[in-house]
Amino acid sequence: MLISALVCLTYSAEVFASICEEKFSRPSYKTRGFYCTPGQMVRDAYELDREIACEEMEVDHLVSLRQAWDSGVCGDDLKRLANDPRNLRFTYWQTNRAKGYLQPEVFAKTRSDAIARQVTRDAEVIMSEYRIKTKSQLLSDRFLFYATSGSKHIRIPLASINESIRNRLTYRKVGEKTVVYVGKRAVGYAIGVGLAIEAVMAAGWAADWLTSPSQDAQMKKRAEYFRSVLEGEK
Amino acid sequence: MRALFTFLFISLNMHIPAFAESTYGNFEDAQQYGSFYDFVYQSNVVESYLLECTGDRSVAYKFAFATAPISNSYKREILGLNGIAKDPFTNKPLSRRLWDEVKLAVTRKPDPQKNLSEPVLMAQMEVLRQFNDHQEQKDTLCDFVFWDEVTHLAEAIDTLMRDVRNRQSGSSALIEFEKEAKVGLEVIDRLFKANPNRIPLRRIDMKTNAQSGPLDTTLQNEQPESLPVVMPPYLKKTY
Repeated sequence: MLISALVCLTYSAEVFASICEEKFSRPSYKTRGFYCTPGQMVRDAYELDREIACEEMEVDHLVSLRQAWDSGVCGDDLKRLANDPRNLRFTYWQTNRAKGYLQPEVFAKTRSDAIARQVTRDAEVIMSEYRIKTKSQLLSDRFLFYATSGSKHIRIPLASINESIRNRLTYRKVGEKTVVYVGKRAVGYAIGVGLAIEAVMAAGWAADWLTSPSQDAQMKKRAEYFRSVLEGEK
Repeated sequence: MRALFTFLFISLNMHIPAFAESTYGNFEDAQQYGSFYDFVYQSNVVESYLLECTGDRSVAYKFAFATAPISNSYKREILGLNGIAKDPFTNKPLSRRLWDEVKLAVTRKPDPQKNLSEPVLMAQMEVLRQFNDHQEQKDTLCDFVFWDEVTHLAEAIDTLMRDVRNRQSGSSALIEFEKEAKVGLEVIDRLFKANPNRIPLRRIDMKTNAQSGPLDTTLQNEQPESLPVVMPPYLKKTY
């Protein structure tokens, strides 16, 4: 029972996995044995003036391989990033493990100012070269995808859109379509002539949200749904 | 009452240096530390999301009570620690950790200088930061990012279980741990399967997209397909 549940978890996670053709796996890279010998002291890249024993050191990837993979860095490019000296940092094992795949800018906030600046600066160079996206950029891409793909779009007259949301609508011409945004989120495309937009062809997921009465009502719906999932009714 | 204050006072002032005994403290090695850290961190991310997205503590608690036996029995059966009061990451007493959590819940101001080695606080701060920074994107966070976090939790529990089985193969500790973790695993599994957004996204050419701006090429390359975009059931409505 337990095993089948876990097999199912693993399988489903693969189904969800994204842009790279292959499943995420960490490419091989040189670990501490290549850089130092037991007993030797090594400077910690994330702590000012701290030295650590070689056997307590781990090689960290400044920009995590997982974040790169999420951005579509796959195959040989991922191997190159895993071994790119500019992306490797020596640090205390515990810092490395707790850093996990925190984004560099989030991790930087946990460091002293000088280290934080350096982490951010170095990460920007690597992210730009390998075209690695931040979490919020990835999110924007996903929403554009949700807004424009799928077989079902629902026509919603402008007047039917919740007023507080309607006031925040913006439009951007993309190819032959005018994509409609709420904040940074693409929700569908516009219908109308020229600037006279009369309706939004909303992506399925956005339709109810655009016309929903209030945040409170949404929260209540979510609470009911999550409760039923957690209690095993769904 | 006085006894309670005395207990809290002593607990709050007690300082036990973390990992006094060996390099890896309560853990056998860094990999074991990492797999348990990731699970504790990620389950707290999901719990905090449940609270932020529903505004209903009972929902978040339901999740917490169901999954807590996983970490509690892990501490007891796998790490050999006595009682739930001891934190294997920092060795801080329970009262001190609860105090930090209450402080964060009241102020809602993440302290960026907090110690990375506290997965529960780090997770709560990360979620708060996301909600503080993107207040007008709350629906986005709750209806989409939340499900990504559930997926990460599924991966984390998968890694943890694999690690435990490798280390404890055939032991009575493993049997006991699996027995106690059963309900929590089923809850995580149910939540994972309830994710309405499990669709392949590989058709977005991220590289081309990155080269020529985030919008134009995506739409040109990515004409609407027949892939179903599923919305969360609580958003469904018949038009």
